[in-house]
Amino acid sequence: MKPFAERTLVSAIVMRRCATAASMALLLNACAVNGGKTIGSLQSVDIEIKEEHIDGSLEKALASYQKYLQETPESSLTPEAMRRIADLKIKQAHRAEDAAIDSAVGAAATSGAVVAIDADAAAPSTRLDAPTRASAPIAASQPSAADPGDNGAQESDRDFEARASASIAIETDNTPLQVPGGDPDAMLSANAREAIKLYRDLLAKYPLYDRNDQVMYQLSRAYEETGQIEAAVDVLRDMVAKFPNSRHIDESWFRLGEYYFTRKKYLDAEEAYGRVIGIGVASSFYELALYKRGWSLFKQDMYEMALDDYIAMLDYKVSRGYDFEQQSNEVERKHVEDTFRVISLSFSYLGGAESIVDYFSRKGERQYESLVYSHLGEYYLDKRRYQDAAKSYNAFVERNPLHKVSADFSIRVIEIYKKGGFPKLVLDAKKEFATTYALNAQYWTVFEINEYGEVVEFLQSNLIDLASHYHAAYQNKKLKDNKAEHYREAIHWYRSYLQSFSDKPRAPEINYQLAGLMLENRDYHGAALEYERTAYQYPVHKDSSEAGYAAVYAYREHLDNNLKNAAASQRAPLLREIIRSSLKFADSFPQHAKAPQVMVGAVEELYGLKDYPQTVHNGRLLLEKFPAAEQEIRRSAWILVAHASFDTEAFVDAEAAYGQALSLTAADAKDRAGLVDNLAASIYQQGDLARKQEDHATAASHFLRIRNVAPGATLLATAEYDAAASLIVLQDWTQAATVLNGFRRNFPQHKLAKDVTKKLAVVYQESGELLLAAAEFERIERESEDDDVRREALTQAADLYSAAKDSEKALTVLRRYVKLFPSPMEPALETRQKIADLYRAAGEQQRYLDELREMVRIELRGGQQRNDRTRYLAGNAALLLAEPSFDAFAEVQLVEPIKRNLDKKRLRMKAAISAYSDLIDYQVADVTAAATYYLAEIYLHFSRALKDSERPSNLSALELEEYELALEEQIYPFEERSISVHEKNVELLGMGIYNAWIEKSIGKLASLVPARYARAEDAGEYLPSIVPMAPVPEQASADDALSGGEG
Amino acid sequence: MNLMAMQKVMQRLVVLSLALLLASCASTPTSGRRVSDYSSVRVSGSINRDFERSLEYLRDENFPAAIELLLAVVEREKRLPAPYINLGIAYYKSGNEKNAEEAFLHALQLDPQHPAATNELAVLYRKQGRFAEARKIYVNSLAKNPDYLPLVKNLGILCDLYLQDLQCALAQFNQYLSLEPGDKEVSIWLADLQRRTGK
Repeated sequence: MKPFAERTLVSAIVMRRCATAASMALLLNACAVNGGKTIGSLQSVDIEIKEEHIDGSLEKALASYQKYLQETPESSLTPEAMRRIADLKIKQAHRAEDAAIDSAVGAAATSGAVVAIDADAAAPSTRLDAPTRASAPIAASQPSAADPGDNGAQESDRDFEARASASIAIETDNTPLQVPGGDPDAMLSANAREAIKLYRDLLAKYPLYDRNDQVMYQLSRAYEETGQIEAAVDVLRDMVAKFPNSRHIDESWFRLGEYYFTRKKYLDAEEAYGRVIGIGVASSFYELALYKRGWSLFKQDMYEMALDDYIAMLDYKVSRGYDFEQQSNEVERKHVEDTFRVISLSFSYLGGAESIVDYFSRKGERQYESLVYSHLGEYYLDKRRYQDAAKSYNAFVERNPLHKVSADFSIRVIEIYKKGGFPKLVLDAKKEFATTYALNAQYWTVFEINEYGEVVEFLQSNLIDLASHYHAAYQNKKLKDNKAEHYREAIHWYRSYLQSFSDKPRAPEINYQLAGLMLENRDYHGAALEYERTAYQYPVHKDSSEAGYAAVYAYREHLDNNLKNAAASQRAPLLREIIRSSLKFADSFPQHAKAPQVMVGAVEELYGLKDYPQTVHNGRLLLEKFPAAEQEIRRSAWILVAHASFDTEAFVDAEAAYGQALSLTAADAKDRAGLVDNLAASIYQQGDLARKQEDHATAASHFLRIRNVAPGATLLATAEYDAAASLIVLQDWTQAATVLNGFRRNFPQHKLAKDVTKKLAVVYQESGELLLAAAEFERIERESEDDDVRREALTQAADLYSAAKDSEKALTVLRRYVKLFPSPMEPALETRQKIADLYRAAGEQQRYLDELREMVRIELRGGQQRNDRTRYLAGNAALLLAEPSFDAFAEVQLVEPIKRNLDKKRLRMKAAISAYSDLIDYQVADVTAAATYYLAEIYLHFSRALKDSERPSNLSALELEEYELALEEQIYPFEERSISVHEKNVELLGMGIYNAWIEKSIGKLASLVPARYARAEDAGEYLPSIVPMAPVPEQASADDALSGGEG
Repeated sequence: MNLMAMQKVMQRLVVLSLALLLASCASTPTSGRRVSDYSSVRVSGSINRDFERSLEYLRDENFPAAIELLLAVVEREKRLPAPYINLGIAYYKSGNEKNAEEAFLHALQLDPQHPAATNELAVLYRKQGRFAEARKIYVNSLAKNPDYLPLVKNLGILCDLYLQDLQCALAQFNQYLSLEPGDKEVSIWLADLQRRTGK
């Protein structure tokens, strides 16, 4: 359907064009019709001479009438026959003229000659593209195409007046046409002249002929045809005077009117037409007369009166059921069009649109009033009086806002302003239109939207124009001062469009533009929402995917620009939106080049939000959906999947994902080392998990495979250390030792190196590799800075060497100990004790004793460091050192030379007593008891030695007896002394001290003083029977025997 | 090697002898639960024979063999103190005071005041210098076994020599002599004591 503007203009232009080129011919036709009717009406006259349709030709009829006149005596029918012949003559002439015209038209088709009718027929093809819809592209509104009305082909007012008010007289149509075979004018004149003669003869011969009014009427016409106008008018004047009731009276008056009008005798014309009008609607000339009287008055500048006639004419047409929209009767339509034009002219002279308002307010409203306004508008438009044109339309709209054409008029106003080049007015008009005819406006409560497709169409394009205009203005740097306002306006109109026309084909495009504008204005969040709407709330369109992408972009800009430094809690909801939008984009438009990139961005954000399950899910989805995505994107996805898997303790998955990421990572990439570390950590965690479940074999295998899978990983050392620890738990000493040695080789400077040594020591110890274990302990001592550890390590090493029977190495270690750690004294003395023990075991008596002496010496100087233990050690050492003095004493035999040996023994006895007595000072129970025991034994030994001493051989029996007595006296005190010293030990029992030396002393005393000390306990008797012995039977039987039995 | 470890080692041997025992319808291993009157316990012939054989080893001072056999005995017969007591004595004589103590204690679990077991354990404790513990065992056991001479004498010795509780020793030796009037040795000790105490 054509829009209103187009349709209206088409009618307007068609009317004008036809009027220009063809009105004459058409009017002629109209007249011919009327004329035919008039002349034809004769056929219905009830006469004897019947209107015969004579087959063949006019000529035959003529010949027939002529024959009748010649053959028939003059009668009452003679004048009728004469009139008929005259009429036929004229008719014959007219037919010749028609043939000439037909011939010309046929020739024009080939000759290219310009014929008005052809021009008319060709007109529609240009008309069709006349109106221009405001189909401005989005960015900027284009000026509308020029209206064809501007093409300069407009008929001028003067021409219009001349043409539209032209008489129906033929005189103006004197087109000379060459008719083959004769001069039609000559023929016509000839026939007319014959007719004139016949009519005049008839009038003269039969003055009372009852059809003389008709004869006069025809005579007038015949005169007119022969160019004798004045004669024709005279006949008519005569006729209207004589026959006021003639059936031709209206035509005659009309013809007279035409005659006067042509001669600018407008007053006369006005009167003549008035006569016709006076006859009323019964006259077929009534309407034409109104029209022409209107013109007559118009010519006299009596516009309102003229208007009265025009309006009366239109009223009449309406009363006859005329449809202004009709297209079937072109002639009538054109006539009406001309009427409207002269009405427009009249109103323009009366002051324009306001005069229309005034006129109809006085004369009463008309239902076709709107056409008056629109024609005036178009009239002004032709005159390039744009404001007046618009005013004409607006005048109607203002008074009839809810009229069905108001919307069309408003559109026309916009078009007019556009043509006039009034952008500001166009804009205002468009805004007003957009408001007045918005889909929710009052207008549409009266009219059904669906029936006003053009208006709605225009509203759409109008809204788009407005939005585009303000959008362009917003972008115009010259208008930057009003940028904010332009932005607001543009947004408003975009939204207005989208609110009403979201289901229209252009909606996505418009929405896309709206989003773009918001983005440009840095309203990122708004832009994001609009882009999303563009992308997902319409059927797929050309911008869908780009909008989806832009939505994500805008969201991100919003985040970066507006929430850059916001708290995480504030950013999180937006991040969720970004993620949602990104995933939707990637899901909806997988073919978009940026889809993988956007999706990986979402996955990154998911990870940032610690939404690990979703990170993994979407990361994997990305890799599945976009296997051909850029390597860096796939790499990022794998990394994120790996991180998230790791964070959710899905270490197996994490390992695989890091592996994938690494396969996509360049050898020299900066983050490669980090990824290797993460890969290693994933494996390490698997090991750690197994370890927690006490599955140390699995744990160790995980820890150990890191070396091959993630070479160079930072935690490799830790992993291998832990592998060793697990292997130790598994008591897989061999493997543990291998791993630990590997560790030492690979990570010599590692902080765990010292612990490795300790572990190795344990491993070797446990695996029975005592020497290796000892070596590790030596190493521990060397590596440690903690003296406690060092001392302990040396001690352990020495113990291990001793256990491995490598006394030499044990001694070396122990020597190192006492050299490095003379203090604290107690452990140093313990160590020296071990040294001494080793020497003794090796039979190195001297070194053994030397060491004991050293112990005694050191302990004596121990000062504050002396304690019970040091005294014990030193005391026992001293005890051992004292033993040789006892042995030396004991070994001296009291044989000849007695004196010397006795002296020697005494001397040694003294030394031994001294040595043992010194031991008491240690105040160590065991040592004291031992010393006491030895002292007692020294005395006892001496008494026995004296007793067993060699007797002098040169003594007499008496002397010998005396000698024995004297010796006895010497011996006894030593024995007594011995007993008392041993008893000192027994006394220790009273102090709660009891040890082997005391028991030995008791044993000695048992032999020395049996009555007092020989107290053997009853014990150690085996039970002879496994079950208790039965009561002694003998006794029972004896008792029985004694009692003599019972009974 | 402690008692338990030894027992484990012996289990293998026991299995062998068990097979024989089962063939001769002998009793299965007895539990170590106390019996109210172990004098009524019936002992299988093989156990009795092993015990007898262990006595021979002991008299020959073949302590390892004696111990091995006695362990086999107590593996099968856990109700009687005698094998444990002999085992303890064997351990002591072979220098293993720890296992000796355990064996005696085991016997005392079966009969807390068994005179021989208490006597052996008390003497062992005396030798280890654990005088107070020894005295307590003696006194407690004597309350139930006042006439068991070794207990009476040994408590006297402990009091005399080691605790230097001369009154206690005096009482014990007097008691001993009242039970065993003809004992010259103890008479001498009593005389010495009386001299030292001025009684």
